[in-house]
Amino acid sequence: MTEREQRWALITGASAGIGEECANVFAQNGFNVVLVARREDRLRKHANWLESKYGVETHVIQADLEKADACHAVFDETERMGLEISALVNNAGYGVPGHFSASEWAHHEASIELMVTAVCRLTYLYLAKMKEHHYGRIINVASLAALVPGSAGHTLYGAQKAFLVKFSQSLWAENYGSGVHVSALCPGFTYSEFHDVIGVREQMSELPKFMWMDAKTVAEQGFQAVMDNKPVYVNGRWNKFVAWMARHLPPSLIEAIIRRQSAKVRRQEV
Amino acid sequence: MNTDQARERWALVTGASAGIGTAFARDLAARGFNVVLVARRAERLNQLGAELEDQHGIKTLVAAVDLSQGGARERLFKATEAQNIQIEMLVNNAGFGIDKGYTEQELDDQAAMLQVLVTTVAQTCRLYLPGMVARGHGRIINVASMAGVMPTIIGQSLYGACKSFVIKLSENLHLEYGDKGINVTAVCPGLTRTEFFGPANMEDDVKDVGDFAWSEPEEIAALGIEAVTAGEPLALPKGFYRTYARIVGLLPRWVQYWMVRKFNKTASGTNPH
Ligand SMILES: NC(=O)c1ccc[n+]([C@@H]2O[C@H](COP(=O)([O-])OP(=O)(O)OC[C@H]3O[C@@H](n4cnc5c(N)ncnc54)[C@H](OP(=O)(O)O)[C@@H]3O)[C@@H](O)[C@H]2O)c1
Ligand SMILES: NC(=O)c1ccc[n+]([C@@H]2O[C@H](COP(=O)([O-])OP(=O)(O)OC[C@H]3O[C@@H](n4cnc5c(N)ncnc54)[C@H](OP(=O)(O)O)[C@@H]3O)[C@@H](O)[C@H]2O)c1
Repeated sequence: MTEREQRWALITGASAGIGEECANVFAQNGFNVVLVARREDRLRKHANWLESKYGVETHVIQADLEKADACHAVFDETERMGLEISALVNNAGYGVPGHFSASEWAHHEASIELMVTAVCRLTYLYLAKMKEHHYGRIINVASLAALVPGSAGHTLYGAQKAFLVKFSQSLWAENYGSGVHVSALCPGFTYSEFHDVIGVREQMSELPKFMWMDAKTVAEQGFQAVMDNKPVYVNGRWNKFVAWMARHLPPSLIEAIIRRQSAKVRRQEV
Repeated sequence: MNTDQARERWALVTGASAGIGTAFARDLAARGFNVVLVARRAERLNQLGAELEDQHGIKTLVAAVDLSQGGARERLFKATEAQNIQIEMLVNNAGFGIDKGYTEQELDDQAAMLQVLVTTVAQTCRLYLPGMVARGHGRIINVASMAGVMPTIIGQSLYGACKSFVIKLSENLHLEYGDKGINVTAVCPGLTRTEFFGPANMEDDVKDVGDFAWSEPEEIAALGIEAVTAGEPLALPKGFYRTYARIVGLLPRWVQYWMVRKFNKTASGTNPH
């Protein structure tokens, strides 16, 4: 067995969308995979498929990462099983639709626990070992929303993703040359269950096709980006263009665009 | 008396027991605001409260809470609601730093940092926004940092990310609620002469930095209040930092990254942590 074959990648939110595709890409590249999410049946099915398709080992951990002790439980389990996690994909996430002040705080807080706190904690727990082994790959799935002004419904989400971009950039620099790579992945609109989960599928399907990417491509590019040690990777030409515009257009123009976008696409609530 | 009460203006300042927060409280009191003073150290808050009432004839309310604890923000909100205090100006300022590399820090300190710098900021906005929206008027100042704007160095991986969160949240809230009479500003201090560096174990790191890079807390408070009044979502200190941000912002990303890596190398060479 080569060393490469013993490497494990742990992917959160591996039961659907981008996370599921990340698991495929890592397996395809010879990593064994630990799949983490709440829907265990889905994870098991996918794990079996990965084993037969790529001949890798898999392990499934059912976890709700919004819960306070979940990260430690996941870490303890991989430790107990003796799995050396060489790659970590912090992908689990969702948006809370509607106006910021329209949603219950509990809902917002849960999303912070999942997309900020759990990411920090899992990174903390696994990064120390990666540094010891002089090999590590960490992908934090952020979003284009981190790089552009947010429309309504993206207010907290954009801030959470901006956190992840900055967190990744800093850890990238902190670990440069240590064998540990850290990348923030910034997809734009991606076909997954994301927009079903937040119930805006219909509005979203009005957006033109060229704005959309498929989760497989997003995951493949993410894999390549972290292997190449890119601190921030924006998926696709259209999204790169949007990110570029957000950096260079006058703020007043961007504001006007965003306000229009908010009114058009988002459900209007009080 | 009754008409006075109707015109009562209240501000709430977190981290009012020291540094930039105290400066905010003083500035707002001088402008005629009543102030809710929030931090852990009650004695200091009581002292400041008495001083401000004396000097400016305003009212104060002291709320001694530890914002790193779950439930603290709700308790704070209940306390102001119970007194029928309508917050017109919210200043999220409480914060602290941690030194060392990311994996050398304590997980508990990191958890507290996320609570104070991320969760508290978002939640106090969530708690006080509906009232502001209903009244059609509100001002929110979130104290971020240049660390949220510029590439960060070792020891700031979590802190810088938290401050980026604050900046983005402020910008997005400004966009979402600007047309409802709510102005939101992230003010980004650079090095500021406060008590920040003792607890963060950073006194040695900053002691040789020249005067040009330092602000007084009073300047930061004035900067924040002026920017939020003018409806600017982002405020950087004039002079060195504004120029620095502009220049670095013009550089390609790879140059920025190269600079940070260089800096980290020297930092980890000369630095005990
Ligand atoms: N789709 C887009 O347009 C888009 C754009 C930019 C960024 N992103 C980001 O990409 C990431 C993946 O999203 P996606 O588009 O693939 O969405 P998705 O198809 O809805 O998948 C989300 C995944 O996260 C998991 N998850 C949600 N809550 C969880 C919890 N509490 N604990 C553990 N796992 C949880 C879900 O699994 P269970 O429900 O089984 O737990 C699911 O596997 C997210 O971080 C999202 O913000 C998506
Ligand atoms: N000084 C700088 O160079 C600088 C630069 C950029 C940004 N900042 C930011 O400016 C803000 C104010 O910092 P400062 O420089 O004025 O520092 P400081 O003098 O140390 O004051 C920090 C304040 O935050 C309060 N605080 C800390 N933890 C708290 C908790 N768990 N619950 C409630 N209150 C808490 C402290 O009060 P108690 O200890 O009494 O609770 C104190 O009033 C922070 O957000 C900081 O990140 C400072």
